[in-house]
Amino acid sequence: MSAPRGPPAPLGPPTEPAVPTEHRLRTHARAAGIFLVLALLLSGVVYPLAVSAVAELLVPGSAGGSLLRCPNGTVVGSVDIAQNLSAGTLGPSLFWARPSLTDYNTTLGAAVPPGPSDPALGRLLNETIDYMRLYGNLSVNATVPFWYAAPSASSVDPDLVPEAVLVQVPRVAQENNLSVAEVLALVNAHISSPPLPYLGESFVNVLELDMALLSLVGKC
Amino acid sequence: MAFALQSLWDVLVLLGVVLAVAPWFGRYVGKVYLERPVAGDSLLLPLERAVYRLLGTSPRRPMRAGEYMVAVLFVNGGTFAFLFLFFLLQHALPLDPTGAPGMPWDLAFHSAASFTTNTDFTHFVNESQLSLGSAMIAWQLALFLSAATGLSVAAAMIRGFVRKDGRLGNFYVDLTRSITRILLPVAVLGALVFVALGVPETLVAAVRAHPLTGGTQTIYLGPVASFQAISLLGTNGGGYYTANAASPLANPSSASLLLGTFLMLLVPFSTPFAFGTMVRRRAEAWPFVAVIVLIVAIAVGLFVAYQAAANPLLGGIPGLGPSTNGYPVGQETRWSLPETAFFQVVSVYNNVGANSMQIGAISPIAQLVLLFGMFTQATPGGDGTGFAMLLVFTVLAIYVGGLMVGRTPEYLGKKIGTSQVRWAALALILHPALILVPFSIAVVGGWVSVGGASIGVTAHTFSSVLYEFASESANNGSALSSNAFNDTTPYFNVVGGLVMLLGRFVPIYVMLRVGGYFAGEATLPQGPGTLNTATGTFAVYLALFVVVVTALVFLPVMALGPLAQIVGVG
Amino acid sequence: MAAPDPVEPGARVSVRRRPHTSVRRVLVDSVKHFGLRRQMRHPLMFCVFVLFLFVSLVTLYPRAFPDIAASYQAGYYVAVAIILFLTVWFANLAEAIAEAQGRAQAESLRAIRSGIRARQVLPDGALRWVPSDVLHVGDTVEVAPGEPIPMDGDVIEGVALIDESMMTGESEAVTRESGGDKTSVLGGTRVLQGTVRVRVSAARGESFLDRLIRLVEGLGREPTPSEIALSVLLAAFTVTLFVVVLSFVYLANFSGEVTVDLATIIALFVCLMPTTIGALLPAIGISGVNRVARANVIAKSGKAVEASGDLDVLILDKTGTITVGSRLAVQFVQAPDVPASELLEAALLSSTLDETPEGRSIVRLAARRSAPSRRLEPGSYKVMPFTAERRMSGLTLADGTEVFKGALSSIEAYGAPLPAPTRSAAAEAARKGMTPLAIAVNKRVVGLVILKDVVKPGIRDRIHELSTMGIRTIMCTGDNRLTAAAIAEESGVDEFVAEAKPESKLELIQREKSAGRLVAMTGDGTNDAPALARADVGLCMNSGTSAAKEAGNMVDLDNDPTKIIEVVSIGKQLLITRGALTTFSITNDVAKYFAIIPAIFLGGGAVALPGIALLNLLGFSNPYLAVLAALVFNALIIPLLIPLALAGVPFRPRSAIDLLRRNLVSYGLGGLVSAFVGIWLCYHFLAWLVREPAFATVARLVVRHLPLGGP
Repeated sequence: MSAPRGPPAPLGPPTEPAVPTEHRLRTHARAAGIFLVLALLLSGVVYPLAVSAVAELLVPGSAGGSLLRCPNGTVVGSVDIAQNLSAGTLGPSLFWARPSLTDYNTTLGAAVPPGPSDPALGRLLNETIDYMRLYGNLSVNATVPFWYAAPSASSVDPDLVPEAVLVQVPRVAQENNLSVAEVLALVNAHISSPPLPYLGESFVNVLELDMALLSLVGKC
Repeated sequence: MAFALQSLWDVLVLLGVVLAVAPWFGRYVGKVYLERPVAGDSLLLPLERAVYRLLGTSPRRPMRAGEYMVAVLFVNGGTFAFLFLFFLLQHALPLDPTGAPGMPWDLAFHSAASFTTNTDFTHFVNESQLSLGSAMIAWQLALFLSAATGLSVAAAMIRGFVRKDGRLGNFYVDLTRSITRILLPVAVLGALVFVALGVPETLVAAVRAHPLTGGTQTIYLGPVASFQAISLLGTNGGGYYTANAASPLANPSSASLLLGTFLMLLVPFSTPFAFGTMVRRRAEAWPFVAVIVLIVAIAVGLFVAYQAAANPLLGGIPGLGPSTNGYPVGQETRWSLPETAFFQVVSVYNNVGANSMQIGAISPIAQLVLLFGMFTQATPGGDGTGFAMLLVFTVLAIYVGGLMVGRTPEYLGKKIGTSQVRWAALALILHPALILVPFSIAVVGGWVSVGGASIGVTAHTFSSVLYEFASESANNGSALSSNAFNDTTPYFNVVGGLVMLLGRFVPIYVMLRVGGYFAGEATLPQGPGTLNTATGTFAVYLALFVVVVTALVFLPVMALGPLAQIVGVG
Repeated sequence: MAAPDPVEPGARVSVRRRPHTSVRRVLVDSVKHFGLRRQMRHPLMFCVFVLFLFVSLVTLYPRAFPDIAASYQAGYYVAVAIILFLTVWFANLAEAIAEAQGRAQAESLRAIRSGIRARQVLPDGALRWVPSDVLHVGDTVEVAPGEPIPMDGDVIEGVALIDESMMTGESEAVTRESGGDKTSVLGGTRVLQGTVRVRVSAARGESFLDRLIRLVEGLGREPTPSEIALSVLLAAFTVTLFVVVLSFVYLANFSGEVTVDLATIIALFVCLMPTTIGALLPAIGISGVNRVARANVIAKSGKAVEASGDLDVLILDKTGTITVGSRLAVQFVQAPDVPASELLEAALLSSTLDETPEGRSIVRLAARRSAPSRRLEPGSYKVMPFTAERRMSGLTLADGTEVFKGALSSIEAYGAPLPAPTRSAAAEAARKGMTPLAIAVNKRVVGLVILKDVVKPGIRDRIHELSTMGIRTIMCTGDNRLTAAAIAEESGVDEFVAEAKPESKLELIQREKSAGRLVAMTGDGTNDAPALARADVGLCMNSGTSAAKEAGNMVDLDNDPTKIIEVVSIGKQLLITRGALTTFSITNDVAKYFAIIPAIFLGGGAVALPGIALLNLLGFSNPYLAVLAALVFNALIIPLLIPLALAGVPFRPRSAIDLLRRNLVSYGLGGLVSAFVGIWLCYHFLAWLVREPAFATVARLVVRHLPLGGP
């Protein structure tokens, strides 16, 4: 399409050049395409790689997912991911994490606990408490802390409120042939208090606690 | 109350920090869009100019509303197409070490629409259905571009209040500068702090672990810190993990939670100040800030109060101990209630949609509080578009209020004409229509299925479907409950995708049109007879207008769902 | 347009008769407005009307609607239908009343002119009696004393004293003569003295009177832009609510927990629709124009009235508007060595026969200073009148003494030098904006008389009011800067233009308009016509020329330039009334929700959702009555607000933010509270009514004897 020709425009305010619509569309398509390529390089390549590189330089080692290893080098898990600690032969002697609706299977992502008015919630809590009584060797009149019985948001919450650990101390001491005082000392050493009062809550990372427990009894 | 009042302190400090930083950062943002000299020009200006040359555009070629929209559609359409194809073919593309299969077309459509529109509502399980490349290359592109689009549109609309030539600026220039000057620098800093706080940042997609009690467990890793920084800063809200911000890897401590909250708040709280700078009336920022802070503060207060109250239905469970620190179902141990509540409310009210808890499990009134934020979608809403939507509300509020002072209404010296009201009214209709029409069709048409079978809809399912469409229409991305119904059906993928696209680009067109009409008007001088909008009275009026109009439109439907759930909980 | 009432030819029409508004006519009109074409003009009320028809249909043939049968209750449906009908009728009533008020005015105006016969001047110079209807623009008629002027026109020959009281209420007759600025005459006015020839300037149907009649009757009324914008907003709100209510019905019915009854949901929708403002919107617009007309101003369009509420700048003529129009003597200054009595005597002499206001004021002042009075015998003096060349006036006495007064320069030119102290006193006075005149006796200056422009009483307050409303006033005057500055200072105007030439006003208007301001001006002369045409609001004095009247968009029949301030208030009131009633309508909705939503759940099976009881703030136990109460309130609020819509929301000049605060409290909070209280009262009234045995009997009879179906 040839550009429209005509007599020179009379003097006046500058008017928009008469560009055919499809020409403008083509200009935009081209500009948008080039822009996308540039943005892709920046966001998908330059940005993550630069962050990784600088992070490695400034805070080496913190970007790897906080993996825990046994002395023999096997990766046991991540400090930040809970695992099923009540299973297997070792289970009874370990501190257990909060229940997981995905059975600690990270591939399933995270599951949503039942809503507050859903009768399933009561059933779920009852089952959890029964399980803890039965296999966790709880005395009949001991109460299970709500934070221990309730399913978490991530399904792999690695932390417990201190009361939830204390409830498990008698069983752990008995199973590991340790005195309650010894276990309590270990637990107390693993309570993470907030760096400032009320900047977050006090909690115990169960996996770290169990690793310490295992190294104490020399099993890892 | 089952939480310590003192634990509010860090949340209040954070709010104070944001309010201290926002005026400064907002002024910076304003200068960026005014193309006034700012720090970093010596390094970035030549780069940007090179980009403009490559694109064949120039800051000296401002666009009218229509052309600006065309450019928005080309860039976003390109993004959408790229994402759609990438997700469809992710199994055949590089960077799929975990063996994620290609997505079905409807899921790819929903996901591409979701990410392009700044919604980041996901109908898949990230860990098993998304490849490393899909997250890092495709999704991350959208994290940047959708946020940059929102900011650019807001900047263009704001220019309407000062320009007189009917033009709104050059979209490509705005987009470039949104990324180079605002999103990228802050995201890099945020990502680095996230890494320092223990968030993974690696190209290793997964590690196989051998748990203490036997078996195996996959620890999913990746460039989580960089992804999360732009996701929160850009009010996208997409999580690298399915658990989103509740994941202990992505969000390991109170410090990382507060940083995330800061990143979400930064741009939406700064935009009013950017507006003040751009229209050369700094005081005009304060009514908006007041409205936003007021509404968010009330929301957080209600949320904390109802989450702290025990669930009365659980009183009868033998052996269940009491809870300190709020209601634990669907919550993470490491945070205090105010911290996680603040994150959650900010996330929904800022149209981010990231979750630090499972909101399907929280108190119905807390859910209502969140739902309300998605209904207004402007207090403060997502990057750019949230503020632009608040301006649309403002246009309507001033129209009605301005009549009450006896002048045909004007804002910042620009008359509010029939055209502006007509377009703003369209935005008012669109949001409820986009929520309620597909919602009603889904429920009445039997498209809602739980566990494969279509069933009678309970109040909880009802709330979840309502929440889903509200979230999609508001481009929020927050999801109430993935197990209340099956949202991965073609109906919810296709209709949801369309709702997101319409809920994004129709309001953007409205914003540009309204801005365009203002840009074509002369600025009238202000006198004692004009409504002074930089006042407390106006702020109160605007807040009431937003709340009353939203409540009027949505109360009947809210009554059916979340309100009905309160029955059982009291 | 209704045919004009026949008036007997020659019947003397009483002056400014205000026929009372006929109640019957209003009622008939309000029923006529149910006509389809009328209804279509107001989509909001039309929508209610359609819903009424639908509910009526269901009530008459419930079997045709099997889905509804389950919850069908004849009495309830009849009640809903009746109230919906009343809602529409009240809206019609509001409009009919507003129109009737205008019509009353229009009829008295029309009566003035009907049946007039005129003597047309034929081209050959002959005269012929014709009915005024056959006259065309450009025809010439002759009007003799005692005869009415048949049509609007200009005097082209002769001078006449004209009684305009039937049009303007001004009892003092006015002079109209050919040439100059006082040529225009209004059809319907009566010549008292002198015979004139008038050239007709407006065809029948086009005169100001015709326009006024059409406007006050609401016929030529086009919706103004702001009215359209508001309608769009209300329509959008209604469409939104329609979607909301419809989806609510589907969802609620689907959930199976509640059944939403059809009549209830229609009631909910109608209650939430902004029917209050929708019903009153036309009445507000009509009454705005009527109020302007009642102020004796003919507005050519509703838009002009609205624009006047929106003004930024008001351009005022100094003379006649801000000042009384003439300068008055305030002080005498003797020349050195001249006794006071001599100056006073000279001043008196020079002005005794000067009939200008200035001259008379000098005589008055001199008399007050006890000047020796001196009788002038006829023939003992010779008057030297003011001429453009000489620029002074005075007289020559029989003894040859010449007494003159005039501008300093003229007196000097005449040959009387000013002594230095007198000159400096004159300069001092001029600096204060006053006008010194020198008085000379036999070419010797005896002193000065100082004249001053006197600002009209009260004008300062009115200008202050204007500035409170945010309107900047600019005074335009041909005076020099000093005089202008002094008057500006005294009157409180924001700005002034001195030494204005006829085209200055136009330039001023163009300057202000190019800055985006809305400008109003007043004027009367042909000189003013271009500026009047250019101004957003041009208020022309009735005494002005036809050209000026044609150019302006309002004509003030009282010739009072300060009337513009009143017009501004009316314009503002118009906008405020719309905004206030919109706010009222919206906040009303909140209360209606709390009445109806719980009722729906209670009515649909109380057990379903007891949590809804939280919303039942008003504690209603009978869901049907709750819905009816909200609906009755929704209908009743319309007639209750008709007086407000017609009179306008009271307006006092205040700052904008103060106005917003006050109106928000009055109409926002007021709307909320009044709706809660109103619905509560309606509920309890209805509850009492249904308990009343007499009512129950009647109601049962009605339901039984109407051809109603139902289970």
